[in-house]
Amino acid sequence: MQSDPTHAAFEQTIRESVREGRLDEAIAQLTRSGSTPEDATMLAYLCKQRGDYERAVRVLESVPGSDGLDAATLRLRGNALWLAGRMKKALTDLDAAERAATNATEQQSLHADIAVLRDKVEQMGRVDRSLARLDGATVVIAGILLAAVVEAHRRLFSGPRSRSADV
Amino acid sequence: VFLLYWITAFLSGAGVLVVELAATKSLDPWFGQSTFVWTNVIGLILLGLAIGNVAGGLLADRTRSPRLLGTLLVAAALLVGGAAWLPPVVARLLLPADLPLEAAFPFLLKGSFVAAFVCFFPPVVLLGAVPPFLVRCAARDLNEVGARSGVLYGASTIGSIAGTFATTYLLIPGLGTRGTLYGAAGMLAAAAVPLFLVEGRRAAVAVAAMGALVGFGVSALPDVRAAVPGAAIGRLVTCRDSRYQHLEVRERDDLPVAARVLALDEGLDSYQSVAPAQGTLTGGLYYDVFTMLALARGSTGPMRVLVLGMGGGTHVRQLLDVVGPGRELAIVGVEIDPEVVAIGREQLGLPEDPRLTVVTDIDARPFVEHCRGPFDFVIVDCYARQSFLPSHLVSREFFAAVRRLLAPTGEVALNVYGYGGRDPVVETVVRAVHSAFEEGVVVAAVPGSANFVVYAAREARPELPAAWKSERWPAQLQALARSMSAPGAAWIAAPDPGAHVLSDDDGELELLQWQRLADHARTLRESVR
Repeated sequence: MQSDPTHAAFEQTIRESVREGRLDEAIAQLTRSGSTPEDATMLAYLCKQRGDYERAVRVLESVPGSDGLDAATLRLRGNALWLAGRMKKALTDLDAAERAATNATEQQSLHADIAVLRDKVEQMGRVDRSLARLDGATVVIAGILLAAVVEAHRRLFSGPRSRSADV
Repeated sequence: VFLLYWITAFLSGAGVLVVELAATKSLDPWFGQSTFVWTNVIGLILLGLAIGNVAGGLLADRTRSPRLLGTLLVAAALLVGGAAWLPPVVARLLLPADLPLEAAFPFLLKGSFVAAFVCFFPPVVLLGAVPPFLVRCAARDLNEVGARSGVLYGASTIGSIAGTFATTYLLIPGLGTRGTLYGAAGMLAAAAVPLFLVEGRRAAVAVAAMGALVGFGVSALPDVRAAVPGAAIGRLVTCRDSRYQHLEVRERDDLPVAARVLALDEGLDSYQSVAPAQGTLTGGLYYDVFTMLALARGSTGPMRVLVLGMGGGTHVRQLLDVVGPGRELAIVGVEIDPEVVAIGREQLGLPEDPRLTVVTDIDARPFVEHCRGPFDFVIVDCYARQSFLPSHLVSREFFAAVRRLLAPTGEVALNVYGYGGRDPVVETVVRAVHSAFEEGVVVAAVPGSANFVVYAAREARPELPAAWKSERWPAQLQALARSMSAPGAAWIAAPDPGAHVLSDDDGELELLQWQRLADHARTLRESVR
């Protein structure tokens, strides 16, 4: 494949912007002028670095042929999803990345990440179930309080009662 | 006899406020002492009083019995005594054992409501029933109801005022939170004794007197005075309550290095200070980045460092250990809570060192406003209530004051926790720094964590991590410097001229911090359904 000198210059500009810490500028340039799948991957990577995780995921999902991403790109998307707090989807991507990984070191590293994420997913499942119980308790207490207030007012305003002057 | 009713009104009024203040303090180790916790406690106490008032009024219409009034007080005393040991039991039922702080928001919000209801609502309902009952007992004629009820409600309010001041300034510092509640229980039981005496109920007098003695006796026990461990994770080393917060030292082996950590209030899995078992470096936690910034300033000449939010001394120990041997060093550490410094010295290896001056009992803001400086390096690591940046320590006025303290080549660096560089809290803080340091602000993500180190210099834009000359640094710091030099791992904050800059008058940051905690917790939970 013949390299495009204009595009090589563009990539060089992006790299320089990133090296000099002008990350937002690099992201803006890539957004404006990026044209290749590699540009999209770079944009997603920089968005992830910048903390714009959802955008990183969107960029990778919009790449043509995103169903058949390579291991590195799947890992990038999985990590962005993880950082965005979308853990089950992240697990799917990281599992796919592990399957697609071609070298043992990469596979081991992904395996370790997946184990951590699986623990996290299980932990959040437990947290979610506990919160459901807490929600139930909160509703019951709110109901008791409401009933107590209503009953108190019903008793107070349920009609005139005879009273004597002697208290 | 009316004096007796006056005293009863005074003591029951005092009891309500003792319970209210001790309630928040009791819930602190699990749920913190945020505005939400205070709101839940105050709201429930007031609702309990209202319901008690109505119920007491209805009861008083049926019978005019000092004995029943005494029984109400003894029952309230029993419930207040129960409330002294109940919060840990209830909190453990409500909070999952491995709850991380990032998912904790709804638990803190709703859990504090449920816990406050279970532990403190019932006694307050009974105490709320006392004033109308007292009016019924004290008024002999309809014509004097107004005056007598006014005097009794006044006595109750004066009692509440006395209870407020006594709790904060005498009881909690002297007896601890549980001891205060047991003492309040004793006081309420004692208030019932003369009411039973008036009616000649000897058995009831004996029971109430015994209750009072038990309450007062238990409140003075040293074990009762001690703080109760909360929900922080790790092996407990020690815990105590300070004027400002609940403190725990825990041993953790799930961090990059085995270490003792200082956890505050509802800290759960987060921590304020770290004392590694070996050395002073923390294996790549954000503390190491501040030391790298100090090292990046060169290796010769004297260095004057100001640490705002010194905590248990993680930054200080590192600076003395890693930067200190190579150059003349003078550090001023500012920590508002003297107990934090004490626990740092006792448990976290904070040294007595002639190069270190520790300042306590002053907020970082007035210190910065009144300190003369200059300093070559200012570290800002001021978190309150475990995970909250106080607005007045990240406002444009604050950073302008910090800038005035810097030497011409001085730098400031601060720790900000956030869920990514686009976290609204991180962006808000960066804008505030930028307003005082227009030459440029660098934001560096700390690898593998949710911390960012934001730094700026007085006269020029500081270097990015990739430019640091780290060859002579300790190996741990060299590895961290390499990670932080990855493309896009640090960036120069782009100016945002139209954006709002946080000022001292804004309440925006508190809301932003709560909002992002709530949003993040929701995202995490929804992501696993």
